[in-house]
Amino acid sequence: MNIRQYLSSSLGKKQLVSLTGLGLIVGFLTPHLIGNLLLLKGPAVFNGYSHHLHSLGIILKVIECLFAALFIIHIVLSVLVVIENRIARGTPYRHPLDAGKRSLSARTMPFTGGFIFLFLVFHLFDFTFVKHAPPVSLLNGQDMGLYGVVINAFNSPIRLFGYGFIMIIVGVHLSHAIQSVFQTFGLRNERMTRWVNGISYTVGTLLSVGFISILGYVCLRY
Amino acid sequence: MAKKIDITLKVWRQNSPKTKGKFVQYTLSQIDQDASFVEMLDILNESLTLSGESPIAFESDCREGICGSCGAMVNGKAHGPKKETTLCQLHMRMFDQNDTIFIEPFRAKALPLIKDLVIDRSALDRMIAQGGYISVRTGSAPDANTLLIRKESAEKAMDAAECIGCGACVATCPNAAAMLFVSAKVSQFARLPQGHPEREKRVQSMIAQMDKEGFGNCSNAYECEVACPKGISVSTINRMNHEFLRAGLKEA
Amino acid sequence: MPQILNANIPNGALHEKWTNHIFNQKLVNPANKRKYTIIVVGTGLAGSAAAATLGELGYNIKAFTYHDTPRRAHSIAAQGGINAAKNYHNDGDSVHRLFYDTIKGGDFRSREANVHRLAEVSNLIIDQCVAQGVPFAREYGGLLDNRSFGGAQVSRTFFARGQTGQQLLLGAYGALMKEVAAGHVQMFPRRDMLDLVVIDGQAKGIIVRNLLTGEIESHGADAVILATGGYSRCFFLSTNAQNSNVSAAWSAYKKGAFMANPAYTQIHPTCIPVHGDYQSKLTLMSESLRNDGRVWVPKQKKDPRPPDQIPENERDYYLENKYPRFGNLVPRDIASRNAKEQCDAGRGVGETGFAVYLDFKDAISRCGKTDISEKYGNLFDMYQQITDENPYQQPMKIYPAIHYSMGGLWVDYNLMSNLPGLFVLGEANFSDHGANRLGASALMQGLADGYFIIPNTIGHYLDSITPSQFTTTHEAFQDASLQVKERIDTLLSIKGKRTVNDFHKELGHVMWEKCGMARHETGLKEALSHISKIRDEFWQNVAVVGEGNTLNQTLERAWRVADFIDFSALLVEDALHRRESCGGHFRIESQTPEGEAKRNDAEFSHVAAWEYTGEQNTPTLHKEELMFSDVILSERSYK
Repeated sequence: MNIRQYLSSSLGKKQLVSLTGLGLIVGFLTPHLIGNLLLLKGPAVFNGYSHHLHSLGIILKVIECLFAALFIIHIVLSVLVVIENRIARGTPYRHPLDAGKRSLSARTMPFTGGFIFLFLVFHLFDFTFVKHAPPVSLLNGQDMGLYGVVINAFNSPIRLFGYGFIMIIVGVHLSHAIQSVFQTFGLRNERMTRWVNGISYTVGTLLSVGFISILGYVCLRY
Repeated sequence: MAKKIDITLKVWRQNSPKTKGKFVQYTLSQIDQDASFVEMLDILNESLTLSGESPIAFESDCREGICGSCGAMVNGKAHGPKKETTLCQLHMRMFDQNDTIFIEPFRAKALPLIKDLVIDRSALDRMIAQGGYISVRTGSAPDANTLLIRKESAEKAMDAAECIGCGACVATCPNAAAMLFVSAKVSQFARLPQGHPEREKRVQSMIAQMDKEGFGNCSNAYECEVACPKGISVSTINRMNHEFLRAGLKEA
Repeated sequence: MPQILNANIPNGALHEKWTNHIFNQKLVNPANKRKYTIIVVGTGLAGSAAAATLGELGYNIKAFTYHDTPRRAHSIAAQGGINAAKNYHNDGDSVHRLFYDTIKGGDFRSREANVHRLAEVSNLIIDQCVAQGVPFAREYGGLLDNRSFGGAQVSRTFFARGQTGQQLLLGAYGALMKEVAAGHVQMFPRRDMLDLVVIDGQAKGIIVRNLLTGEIESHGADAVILATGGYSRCFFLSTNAQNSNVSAAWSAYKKGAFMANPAYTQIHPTCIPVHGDYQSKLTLMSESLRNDGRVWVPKQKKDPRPPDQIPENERDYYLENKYPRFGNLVPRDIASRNAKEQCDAGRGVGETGFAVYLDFKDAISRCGKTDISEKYGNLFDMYQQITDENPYQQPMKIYPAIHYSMGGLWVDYNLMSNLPGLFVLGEANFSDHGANRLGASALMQGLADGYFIIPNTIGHYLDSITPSQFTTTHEAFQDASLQVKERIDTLLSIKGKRTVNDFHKELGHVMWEKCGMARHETGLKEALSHISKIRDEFWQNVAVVGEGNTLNQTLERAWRVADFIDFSALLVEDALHRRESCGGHFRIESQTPEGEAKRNDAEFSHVAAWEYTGEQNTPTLHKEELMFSDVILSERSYK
């Protein structure tokens, strides 16, 4: 079995989805949250962090491309797997399958994933692909750079609640995803099940709460 | 003395893979709650025969939950509402007066329908043929006690070996995956020293065959373990994933 | 003309016969083996093991089963275990003791040389199965665990929880699938064997019905192996699977193979009692339960009190009282007959009065509930599942049920029937269990026949014939398939008013009442005339709905029940002829003053092999005299 055969097998694909997902959580989502939390320290620190990132130049571009690749692999393989799974059923059940013990997060993975993808596109246009300059960066008549852009953006209640909702969805997605990584790589045994599930829910919740706390800050402060 | 109940059945009738199927309604009265589910179907078939209608085709053989012949979706659950039970060991005391019961065949593209509730499970055989055994020539084995096996390992192997090949895991999986079936065999032999010489080849060939048959992928929904009449745990899938990765790394 | 049959038993001392015989067999050159095609019908323990092993040897194998996959064969339901003379417990076991126990257990009605060979190869089976990865129970030290089982005084039974049959069958099935993948075995699932094709007196093929398309197929071969199981389902209610049938063996009988000792049927003592007229089968619970459970009935007839309100001194632990040395562990036939006696005397319990208690109260207070649940948990669960009663709290109710058939097609020492080229293995043959089978011996015999005996005997026959001499265009195949088609058409054309099941139930009722645990001449004669009436009505009034060219389960059953009816008449005929009691065959006329079975060695120390002589004719009885050189025939006493 060569590497291509390995990765195109049902198990190989799943392991790749898991691995890219894990890479995004550890490499992208967590640092992103930490960086964003700097918002709570005020405009100077937050904008400083933003400038520092941009000053990395080509390195930043490489890292961005890497994350884009992870996202693309994760999304393409997931879509492929979902399509394959539909085909594997053949004739659908006429009487609906009992939902059994599947958790909400397990049942909704393709949907939460899809939501997150759409959000991602929106989010890039919202913050990344806009100039961090007046008029959108103006806060009380002062140019506050990215800090101002963020605060202004969340002054819209629709966006505030929309982002909040999406962050909950991210949490739901992650709470199934993280324990899945353990199972998919064969790192889970029966004694660990409770721990693994616990870790998965905790991490999912923490990331979700972390992002929402920023919204809360904006909401309370402005 | 067991109670008798009246029930309404909606049974999937389909004459052949090519014809269209539909739920057909039957009412049964005075069914003894001590009867098993398949005995209830026997009663219905007797009356269908006498009225000249063709009886419902369904498989069942040992009627003690071990041969794996029987199985159908009962109200959306493989083998019905009782945990760790095959259809033949499900008793009518699990149902109440005037219940409506939907009976539908196990569905998966890799386990195609033959007639009514009968499906073709030969895909399971073809996966076993790709390494679901230890290659040992008859007569060449050493004395059985030359090999020491920890009691715990033997028990764990036995837990996995209990699979009866009924197909409920596939039927109930939202993705029609056969992971639990394949992993039960893989992990039985991974637990035992006898299985080690062929472990890499076994997991790779069985999975290749599984993919070829058109079963779905695992999305860790763990529904299979709920439906399994022998209570085989998804930790066997975990084990298989590990074996697969191990085999891949060893080759690399 | 009645003949005296020759079993071709090799010369020499008992313990050397098999070794010498293997050496004296002609071998087929390895390069020539693939020129021979062997048909194996049935994929239970014996069939799968034979097909796999013969495939390994290089023969061309065609394996047939009416199931969708080989793994469903009823061997899978055997619970208790498999015997082997390993003497791992250092408790005095040996090949000779296993041999002796089996001969004695069979009430001295089996062939000495066969039984000794069985005991000899028993150890190889365990080695083979362990190597295949069968997860037998282990001790903490990592060695194999055994238990004492079904009337044995030594611990020689190897087991895999309560699913030994399943694990052994899956082992054999794995071996078979390995050979399928290697291209040595071609599998034909969902095929029902309906006739044997005999050319110039030799078995050369079979006629099968493809159960999905209804097509009648002809398959030719150089030898045919039947491993098609037993015929207990002629009693309708039995512990056998729904599809277990006698048709393959019966078709061979009608083509000239002799049917031996059909009256030897085994009644298993620990089954869940009958409870309703819709019931389709009886469920056996492993007799390992008798290791810890105590059998009793209330002393008072028709005692209405629940078991926990009956004080100790008003209970009759009849097995312990009557057989102090073996107690609850007496062999199956004795335990069964005693239960029937108690119930017939009005001391039976439960709704129907046809049950006795099997009580674990003492065992639970002695070893604790955990210990008992570890040993018998799955059996207790199964009991509760079926009866809705909790055996940890109240005693189980048990009653005997038909379980195994010791009789079957006659075979010689090489497992070849009187028709050259037709070999019969496992429960389908008559050979090793005499008039009663000991617990955990069926799995042993099935695997012995398949793994170790047939591969060493079939070559000698094959060497004597020219391979692939005939094709399926031969008129014998044409005739046979034509007859099969005609019979199917007849069954479909009757369009009567009674269901197949209804006839089957009536047949079963007659067989159980008149030819069950106790038999006598008047009853047996009544049974014969009743069976003949059932037969007449069946062929005029059976309702078989549907077509022949598709999956038609009613048609499958109708064919089988038609054969069961004919076969039952032969069974009763054999029971009538054997005017002695032995093992599972209890003739009321032949008992000791204490009511135990009384053999008549002077007149009946023979195998009764019946030859078919036409539909309306009485079959001819041939005899094989049983010679004993190493055991002394004694009254089988377990007191």
